[in-house]
Formats: sequence, structure tokens, C-alpha cells
Amino acid sequence: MSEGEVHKGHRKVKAGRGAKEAKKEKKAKEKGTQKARHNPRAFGVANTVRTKRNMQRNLDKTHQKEYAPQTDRRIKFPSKEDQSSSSKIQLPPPVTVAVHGPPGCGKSTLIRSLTLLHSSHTLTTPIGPVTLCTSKTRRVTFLEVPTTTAGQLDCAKVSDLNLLLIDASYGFEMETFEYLNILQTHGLSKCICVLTNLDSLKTAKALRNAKKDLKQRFWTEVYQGAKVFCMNGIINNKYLRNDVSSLSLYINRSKFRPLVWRSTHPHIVCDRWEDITEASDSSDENEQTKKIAVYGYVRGTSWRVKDAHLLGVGDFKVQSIAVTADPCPFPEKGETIRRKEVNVYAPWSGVGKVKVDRDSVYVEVGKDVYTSGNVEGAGGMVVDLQKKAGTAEGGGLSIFKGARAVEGGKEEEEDEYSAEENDVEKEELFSEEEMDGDEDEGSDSASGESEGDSDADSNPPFNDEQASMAWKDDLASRAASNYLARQESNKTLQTLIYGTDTEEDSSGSDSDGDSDSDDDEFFKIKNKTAEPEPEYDRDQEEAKFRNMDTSLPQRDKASGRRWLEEGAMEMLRDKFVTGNWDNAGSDTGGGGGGGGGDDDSVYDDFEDFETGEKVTVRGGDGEGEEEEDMDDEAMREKNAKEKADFKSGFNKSYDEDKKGLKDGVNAGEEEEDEYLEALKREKAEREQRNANEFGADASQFAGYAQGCYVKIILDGVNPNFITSFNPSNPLILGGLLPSETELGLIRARVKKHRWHSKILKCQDPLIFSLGWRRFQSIPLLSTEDQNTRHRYLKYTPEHMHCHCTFYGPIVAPNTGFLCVKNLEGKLKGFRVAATGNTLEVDQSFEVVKKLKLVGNAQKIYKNTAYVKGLFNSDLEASKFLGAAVKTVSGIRGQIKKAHEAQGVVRCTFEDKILLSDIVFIRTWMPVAVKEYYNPVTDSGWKGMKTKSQLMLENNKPIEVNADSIYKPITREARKFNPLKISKTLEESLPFKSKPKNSKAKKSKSYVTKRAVVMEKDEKSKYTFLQALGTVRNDKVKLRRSKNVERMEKKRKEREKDEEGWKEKRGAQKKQKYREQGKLDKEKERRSNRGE
Amino acid sequence: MSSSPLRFDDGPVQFRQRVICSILSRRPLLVKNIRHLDQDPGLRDYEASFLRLIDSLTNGTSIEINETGSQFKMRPGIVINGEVSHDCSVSRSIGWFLEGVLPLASFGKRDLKLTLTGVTDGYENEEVSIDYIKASMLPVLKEFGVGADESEGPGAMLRVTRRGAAPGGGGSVEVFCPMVKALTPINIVDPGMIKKIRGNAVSCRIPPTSPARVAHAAKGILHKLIPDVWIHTDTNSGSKTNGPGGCGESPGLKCTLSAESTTGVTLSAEVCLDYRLERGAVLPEDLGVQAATLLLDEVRKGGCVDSACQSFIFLLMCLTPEDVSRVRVGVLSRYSVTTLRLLKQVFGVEMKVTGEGKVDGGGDVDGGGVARSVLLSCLGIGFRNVSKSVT
Repeated sequence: MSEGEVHKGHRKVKAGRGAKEAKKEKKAKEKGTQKARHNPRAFGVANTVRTKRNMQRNLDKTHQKEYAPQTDRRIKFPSKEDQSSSSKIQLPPPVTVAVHGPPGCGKSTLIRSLTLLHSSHTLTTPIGPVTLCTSKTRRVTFLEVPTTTAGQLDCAKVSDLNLLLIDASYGFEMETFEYLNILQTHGLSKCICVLTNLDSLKTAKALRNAKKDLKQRFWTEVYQGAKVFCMNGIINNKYLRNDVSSLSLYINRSKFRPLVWRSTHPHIVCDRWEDITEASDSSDENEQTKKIAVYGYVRGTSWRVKDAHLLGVGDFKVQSIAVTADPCPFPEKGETIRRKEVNVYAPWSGVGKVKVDRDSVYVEVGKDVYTSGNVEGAGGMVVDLQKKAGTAEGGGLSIFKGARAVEGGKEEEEDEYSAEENDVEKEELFSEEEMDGDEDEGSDSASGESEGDSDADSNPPFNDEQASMAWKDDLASRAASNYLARQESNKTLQTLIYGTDTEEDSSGSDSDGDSDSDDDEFFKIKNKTAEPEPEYDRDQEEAKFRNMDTSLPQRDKASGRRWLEEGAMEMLRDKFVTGNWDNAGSDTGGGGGGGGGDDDSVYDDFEDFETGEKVTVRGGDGEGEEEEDMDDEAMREKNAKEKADFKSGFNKSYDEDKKGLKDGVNAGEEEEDEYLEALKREKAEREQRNANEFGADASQFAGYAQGCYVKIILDGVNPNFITSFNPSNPLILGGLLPSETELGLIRARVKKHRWHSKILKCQDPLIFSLGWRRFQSIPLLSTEDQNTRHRYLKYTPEHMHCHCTFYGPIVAPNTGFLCVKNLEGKLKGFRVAATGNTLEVDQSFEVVKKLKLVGNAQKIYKNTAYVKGLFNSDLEASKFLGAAVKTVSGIRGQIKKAHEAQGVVRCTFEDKILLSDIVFIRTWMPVAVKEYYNPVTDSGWKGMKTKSQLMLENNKPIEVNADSIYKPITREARKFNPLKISKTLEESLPFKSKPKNSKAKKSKSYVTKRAVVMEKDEKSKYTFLQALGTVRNDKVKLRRSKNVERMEKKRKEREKDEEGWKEKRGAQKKQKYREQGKLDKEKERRSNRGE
Repeated sequence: MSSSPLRFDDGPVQFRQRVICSILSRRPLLVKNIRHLDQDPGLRDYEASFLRLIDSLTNGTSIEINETGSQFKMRPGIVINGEVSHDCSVSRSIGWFLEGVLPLASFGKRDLKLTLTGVTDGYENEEVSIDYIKASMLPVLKEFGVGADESEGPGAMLRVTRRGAAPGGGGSVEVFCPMVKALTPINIVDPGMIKKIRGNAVSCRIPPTSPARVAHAAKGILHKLIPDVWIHTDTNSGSKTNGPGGCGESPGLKCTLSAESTTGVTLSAEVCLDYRLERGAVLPEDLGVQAATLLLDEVRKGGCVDSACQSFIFLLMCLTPEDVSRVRVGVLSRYSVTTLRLLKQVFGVEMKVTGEGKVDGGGDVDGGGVARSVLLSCLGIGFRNVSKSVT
């Protein structure tokens, strides 16, 4: 707000009741006749209801704001303080941005424009991942999502941000909706809509409407207010700079929600890969499985797993993993980022004079004709290499060191290849030679070589031999040397346990006993066949260890007696609350709160057990001495610690104070706050511990951190992969947790997608996309009845969830998945068939189908009947003793016993049944899940076909089960015999019960037979009535005929009308179909253009 | 597609841990050369019994043992738990079995309600007993978040319904353990100061004066250090053999002591009368003294967990989410070291082992004084209870 600006002030009420009151009050004040108010203490709450509501509202609002802290394991870009404090900082990996859209909507153009915005590179055709620095704190990898379903699935699993490109001139296409659905099932990473081809809309109104409609549609699909960007035009095959830069700003600043799958599974978006199969004399090259190395940033979480899944290829053991040089590093500290210096790493797109092909690397020399010495940069290096003729033959040439010397070598990746003689302008370099990443970043690697040099004859941890009384002199220097010794011995302890060779083969047996050639026999595992150890005591222990499997260590009998000696127990005095508290506190490292580092105070106090005298280094002048001894680093650490302690103390006391202030009404809320606070505090502590525990050796204990650029070698790759690899399909390597390599049965909740046109049939093969994998499996559909029975379903319900059990790789419950019918081929409509969540994993699930066993009565006694046909043998029958049976007419019964005859059972019923009655038992039949698992690969994959597909392909008619055909039901009328009552019985019956149906009289009765003669008067009346009737009849007849005539006329009129309408409607229909046809044609043309 | 099997060719070393690790990592297990050079080769009855117990706790586990029993293969299934009762072999105590399956207890599809019958006391000199598990391991389980939230139901419990001493057995124990979705990382590094000592002197078919004498002797020593010592005596007479409160057929006497510190750390020690010895060879007083000195030994080591509890904790530390867990132990036992190696082999988790603490003036550790403690820390593998279902 500027100084001079004047705002409209408050205007007093000048009319109405309020004004009157105010006036009155003012007057009263002036006169001094102001009335005393009510007792204010009596009316603390003037309006109880409103106050209550307000309180509730406030509580609700605060409650809404509360959230349980989410675990986010992604590393963040270090703040300035962090950068200065620790020596080695792990930088986060590039953000994965997937650029998605239907064919021909400008994906490549967008990537090209974004790359050019940040760097000076123009990518003619961006293929494969493009990594570049977009700001000082963020790197971005752009992935162009292929239009295939498989490609969409893969990209959705790794993308942090999705740019959904939409051709505004055409509108949304099915691909976008499918991709959104795929994203939803795989964790819904952030989505931005980008409208392209806006320049093809001619009028401003059309443009405005298109933007509005598309935005609204996108919002309903994602969420209200989702970001939409517009690319308003295109110049030189690139979008307008302003549009692109606003999009880029958003990309740079957006934050991402942590996703469960990704934060638990490390993965790599492979920038490039190499075939490093050693040439063998195997006759058929194509038969041989290949060994490949893939390169990329570790994303998601740190890479510690041994198994990995290469999406669309298969499962592999990680042969080796090593950190290599980052091809796209951040600019140096403190430097502003300049466009010309921005690194772009896009090996498949031919950026930076290096082009990676399937099995070779091309380096552009840059000149048609060159002489030695005048070529600079990468070309110069190649020329230099060429001068050393013959060196690149066969074994290859490591040029790693040489590459460092080359001036101005911008592209790091060039360093990794060796050259072969070639005199065309593009030099083909063989990639056989491997640069070993360990060399330049030895400390990062997990090989733990540094441990190797820790001396084997340094003090072993359990028998430190110190001169008994020598401690009394020269304490400070002794402390220092002890500290060093301890450091040394710590290493030794680690080495003793794990051996020097930390890269132990996972599958290998426990036969590393001889590799631990250290001095302590104690830690050595020997085979049974090995010679028994000489010591007597050990021998017994060895036997116990080998055979008994007990965690209780061997007891030392002497140690028991030792405590009984005079004064021995006094040594332990300080371990008990009865002892000296200060002493004990320092003795144990001062509590567990610390952030991981060893507490120095641990070593300060010494106690002479022989004299019982305690010596405290800290006491008296020792303090000053100690401080002097500390170097800057230690001093800083100490200060930081003091500060932290003070702060935590202050926080605690502050919290308590606050708690003391609040009381009464807010007690519940306070408790809630406390709980959340505690959660947050716990989380902060945990994060602190995670960050500080391992320090420099993190890779040894915590794996390869996120953001490391690693090379992973995989063996046993199908040669098909090498030959049919398409760089525009992203290659992704996902890490698998230990249990995820096993197969098992999975039960899931699934729903047919409402946009998918057909319902799904039980036991028809489907392709699942679950976790990293996509695979074909056979789902068994079921629904859960109220008594937890899982009842078999033939088809998915139309608008409901159902359960589905299938055989596949085990994943944690609550993982989302989706099903498609087919990955290849052109499919009409919405391709995602169903989506769901996994619920449970087990080795067996019971799904049951209803089964009715039907039988007939063989012999009937009163309420008992022998029923045949239910079972085939008495063994079968005996399993159903006590089962409930029922006749169709509803008479209930029970099976009592298996009769001798084949499957005949004796049943009792609540009433006598008829011989014609059908007796049935309702039972449930388990249905087995078909154990079929077929991982979908990108090349040469063939899946199981559904029966309908097969029948269609082979031109077979639909199978008809003759029993299932409905036939007309013929129900013969039942004939009942007349009831016969014997004469004697009839006679004895009372009148009431006697049959009274006498036969009809054959002769006429008197009344009907007699003649009637009317009087004159009577007759005239009769005739008159007859005449009236005749007149009426005639009238009615006339009216009817008239009606018929009129209706006929009306019908004719209507028919005439109808004819006129028919013509009109026909014309309309024709118009509609014509337009539809045009649209279809246009769509087909577009899709053809896109492929 | 399947995970690589765990292969061992050194016989029954760490038998239980290997089986458990195989199930938790879902990697098949192959153990060869089980006492193949012995006169009596192959698996022992208790090991077979343990495998049967595992089989009844899981679904889909297939176990193949060869003819001589010197080799067995296991393909792990899914942990189910639920209500299971198992008759343990009497050649080992119930504690041995329970200690083995305890890491699985909270990773089932349902809460574990396990009833074990067999020997409850009498093997304390060789292995941990149920009283020890109750005193030391169940509190640790709580630290890992198993049953930590009391609003969600009871935590892990162990109840001795009937005592049965070695070698006759006949005891019965009920164990309850709630399932969890995932463990929580631990940070137990401060042993604190011992504030109280509790104990239990149990006798079966022995005059009730004996446990009282044990308790008296133990208190005689411990009172010199701390006044808050309470040793409960639990006498089980043979007269009620079949009724409640009865006990098995064999006589037995044992004593479990546990010391609790200001930071909630519990250290335990126990001794028993060896049933193989002649009557009167060991006086109850000796037993009491032995128990007390063993407890003092544990305290001296300066760890936050017992030596017998170490490997259990290490395994659970590996199974936490991807967070750092830290624990301070006294002296790493040989068993624990083997466990550490096993964990590295199975889960790929290497612990950071830091020896620290005061170097005593008297030279050798066993010579007396306060030993160095060892601080172990590791990053969990992010283990989740896969068999737990969502509704």
C-alpha cells in the first residue's frame, strides 16, 4: 500500500434501531443519566447455543487441519547450512516428468521447447529420457510416453509429474483417460494439462470455449482447480517461449506427494544400456543369453535389494552395482545457472556429439576433413586415440585417465568408451571396455575396501590388554591414543563379524569361514570335518554351538565365584540406583537421545577397581585442558550439541507451561495435540537418526542412496531384448523386495471399469499390471457372502466390486492394479478392463460353487425314505451323514445312514414324501485357482487366448450344451379318480358328511312344463316393453356402425401424416450418419498419421 | 522366477534362526550335512518337532527330509498363526521352541494364540526358559511396537498354565501375540541404573522350603546392592497332578531373576537344578547364589539386552521399516555373531558395530570390572507383514 492512498472508512449507522440506541446512549452519557448495566459476571455467556456452536466449529476446524505425519523417505535438496556442514551431500535424483498425449499432439515439440528453454540444445527428435538441469536445485528427466498401453503402464509407474497434452482442436481422446486411470491405480502422481494446437482454432470465441470446456472436463477428471497450461502457437517447431517458460516455472516449483510403492521400491529410469556379453565360441549367437549394463539415477529409495525387474523384460539378479560419474551434475556451488552451460544428457537423442546406437557409440568429430591437432574437444580425443593405432583391438583401451586430461571435455560419457580405427566422420567406438565406476568414487562403493586396511593385529575388542597401573600418568595423550585405538578396534569388530570381503555372495553357502583369516578363533565357523580345536573348553562349547542351537552363551563357572570375593560387588555399585548417579550417567553414554555419534563423555571417567578410587577427567582444571585440546571441529560440534540440548529443554518446558495454562474445556483437545506433537517429534527424531547414523559409510549399511548415478549389471537377458529394443519405449529397472520374487495366490477386490464395454468372464486370461510387473494370469471371480463364504461368480457384476483370486508374484496388501485384455493390436473403446486393490496373500484360497445333488425316493415308509441317486458310493454317502435334504415341495429332512446299496441313503422327513418327489442336497464345491503366470515381455510375447478368441479365429460355432437348452414345458393335467365311498360307510356317516352331489334331473319339472296364459292388460305391458327394447337395440347398432366408420377415417388420416414424417426423419438420419462417418474417417486418418 | 535358495552345508548350526529367516524372506532353505558323521545321524526329535510347529503355524510350507535326516529342504509358505497347539518334544524346553517362533509371532494373518505343552523348567543351564522369555523378550517385543498401543488390544502375553519339569515334561504354556503391519524401529542405548529386582523361584514336586531357600540365598547377595528385591516362590505339588495348579511328573527347582533399570531395560538370569545330578548334589542355597551372580554378570556387561536375547533383537531390527534401529549390547555372544552373518546373507543387512565404553583397569574382561559395550545399528529392510489382510 502506498502512503497517500486513502481507503473508504467505516460509516456509522445513521438510521434504524442501532442508530437510535446509539443516539440514546450518547445523550444519556452526556447527561450522566446512564443506567448501570446488568451484573456482567452473571452473563458471562450471553448466548449458550451460539457459543456452543462456535466452540464446536472451532474444534472441528482445528481437527481438520491435523494430520498424521507421513513418512517421506525421498531426499531433498540440501539447504545452505547442510551444504556447509557436512562434507559429502547426496543430491536428489532428477524429477521424472512424463509427457503424455495421443499421437500427433505435440509431445516431442514440448520436450524440444523445454530443453531449448534451459539449454542451448535443439533436439531434433527427442528419443528416450532427456535429463537436464532446470534450476540450481532441480534436475528433470523428460520421458515421452509411448502410445502403446505397455509404455503408458511403465511410465505411470515412475513419473513424478505428468504433462497431459491435449490437442485442443480435437478434444480429449481415449488415451488421456486411460492414462489417468493407469495413474490412479499406480499411485496418482501429479498431473498437469497442457493444451496444444490452439492456433488452429480460428475465432477468439472458439478458442475461449475450447479452453473452458477442456478445462472443465479435465477438472472433473482430476480435481477442481487442476493446473492447465496453454501452448498458444508454434514457431520453428517450438512452442512460444512465454508459454513454455511459465510451464517450466511450474515444473521447477512443484512439490510431490510421497507415494507408497515408490518410497518402498528403488528404481532406475535407464538412460542407456550396453550389451557387455563376453564373446564366446557358442555356435549360435542368438541363443546365448546376454549380459547387459544399465545406467541411471537411483530413485525412490536407496538401492539395497538384490533382485530387480526390468519392465517388459523379466526378473534378474543384480550381478553388480557401482556408482559412476554423474552425467548431468548440478552447476558448481554459488554459480548462477547459465543456459549455455547447462548439461543435457539424452544419449538416445544424439545430444552433444555422442550418439548411442544399439551396440555402438558414435562420436561426432565435427569436421569433414581434419588434420591431427586442429580438432578440439571430444573429436580431439578420438583423433588422439586414432593415433595410437591398434590399441583398441580386442581387449579395448581404457581411456579413463586420458579423458581427464582432454581439455574442455564437456561430455562425461565420452570418457567411458574406447575407440576403433575408422576413417569416416563418425567414429564407431566399441563399448566392450568398461569403465569401473569404483575407481573415481571409491568411497561410495559398497566394496568396503577401506576396511581391508584396518589392521588385523590391532587390539581385538574383547581382550584389551592395558598396562595395569600405567593410566595414572599422561592422561590426555593416553586418551587421545586410546581414542585412535578404539576407532581402529571398531573397524576390527566390524571386520571380525563380517569379514573383509563385504561383497559376499548372497546365494553362497556359509563357507566364508576360511576367508576370515583373522586372529580370533572365536569368530570362526568351521566345518565339522575340520580338525577340532585344541582347547578343551572350546571343544565343548563348539559341540554345543554346533548341535544344540541355543542362544544362551556357555556359562563361566569361575565368574560366579568372583562376585563372592570381598568388595567385588562394589564395582557394580554405580550400576544400581543406590550408587553414584552422575557416574552411572556418564558411564553409559549419556542416554539414547543423541543423534548417533559416539558420545565423547563416555571415555572420560576412569575408576580404579583395585583402590576403589574414582578419577574424573572433567573435574577441576581438567575442564580447561580438555577444551584446549579440542580442535575447531570438535568445538563446533560441542557447541552445537549444547545448543541443541538447550533448545530441546526450552521446547519441553515451553510445552509444559502451555499445558499448565490451558485447562478445563480444552483438556481433550490438548491431549490430541499432545499425541500429534509426540508423533511429529518421534518422526523428527527418527529422521535425524537416519540421517546421521552411518555418515560416510552409508553405502555399506544403507545401500546406494537416491540420486547416485549407478551402473547395474544384469545377466541372463533374453537376446530378443537386444535385437528388438526400441529406445522410444522407456527402459525401467525396478527393485524387488525379498518376498516379491516368489509366486503365490493373491486375493483382490476388483471392479470392471464402467467405461469398458464388456463385462469380464471368470477364468478368462487377463493381463494384470501389478507392482512393477505386467503379466497374464487367470482370475477367479467370487463374491463374499455374509457368512464369509466366497461364492464363485461367472462374470463381473456390472456396477459392483467383486473379489478376484489369481496366481502371481506376491505383493504387499493394498497395492493397486489394473487389468487389460490385450496389450497389442488396435482395440476399440476404453482399454482398461478392470481396476482393483490386492487384499490378501496366501498359498490357498477357498472359492466355492453351488452344487445341488439330486435323488429320488426308492422306498417310502411313513416319514422315512430310502433315497437313491444322490451319491455314487456309500463312502461318498457316509461323508454326508446328518446333512439336510429337501424335496422340491418343501418337505425338509436329514440323511441318517448310508444304506448298503450303491449310494443309497436312509433319510427322515418331517412329513411323508411321495415317490414322485425329487430330493436334493445343497452343497458347496471348491473351485481351484488355475496357477497360470505369464510375464508379458515387450518382444515376441504370446499370451493365452480366451476361448471365444480361439473359436473366432478357428471359425468354430458356439458350443451348445444340449442340457442347457430351454424346452417347452409340457404339464399334463392330472387326472384324479372319483372319490368312492362304500355304501356301508355312507350309511354310517352323519348327514353333514354324506356326499350330497345328487345327479341332475333328466325330466323337466312341473314349473317349467306348465303353460302360462297372460291377461290382456298384462300382455299389452309385455308387448310395450318388447317394443322399447327393439328401439334401443336399433339405436346401439347404429351408433356402433358410425363409430367404426369414424375410426376408419381417423386411421387413414394418421397414415397420411406418418408418411410425411417418415421422409423428414430419413433425411435427418442420413445427415447424422454422414457426419459420424466423416468424424470416424478423420480419427482413423489421425491415428494412422500418429503411427 | 523364484528367489535364490539359502544353502547351508554345516549341519544344525542355528537351526531355528535359519528356518525363521527362510520363512520371513520367503527364500527356500536347504540344509545339508546334519550330523552326518555322527553315530546317530540326522535331525533330532526336537528339531523335527520344531519343523512340525512351523508347519502348523504356516500355510503352504513344504518340508522334505531325506531318509537319514541329514538333509532337509523347505519351501516356505505364508505365516498364518491363529489358534495353534503343539506338543513339544521333551528333550528341549518349551522355551527353546517359543524362542524360535517368537519372531514370526507378530507377522501372521491372525493373532497368535499358541498353546505349547512339554517341559517348562529344568533346561535353564542350556537354553532360555519361558520365564526368561516372559521377563526379557516380551518387553522387547513391545519396544518394537507389538501390542504397544493398548487401545488396539492386549499386547504379547505368556501364561504358564501348568508346570512340568525335565525330563518328564507335562507342562503347558499359553502364548498370545497380536499381529502387526510393520514393526517400529528401536533405539535402546541407555541401560540406565538398576532400580529393582524381581524373581521367581519355582519348584515342582519338591518341598516348598527349597524355593524359599533359593530366594533367601539370592536375596542375601542382591540386598548388598539394592533393597528392592522381591523373589516370588512358586511351589507346585505333585498331589494335584491332574487338577489345576498341578505339575508334571518330574521334580525340579529353578530360579529366574530379572533386574529392571530406570530406563525400562530388563536384564535376566536363571538357573535350575540339573535333573541328571544326584539328589543333594546341589544345595538350594548354591542355586540362589548362582542365580544372583549370573544376574550380576549380566549387569556388569553393560548392555541394554541380555546375552541370550541379542540375536532375537538383531533379527527384529532387520525387519523394521527403512529406519535406523540402535541397540547396545554387552558382550556379543558367538550365537549373536553368527546371527549377524546370517542376517547379512539372508536380508543383505550389515549392521554397524561399534565397540565402546570404558576400558577397564584390570586388563582382561573376565577379570572383573565393567566391560565394554557394543553399539549396533542398522537400517531395516522395510519389512511389512505381507500375510495380513486388508478389509
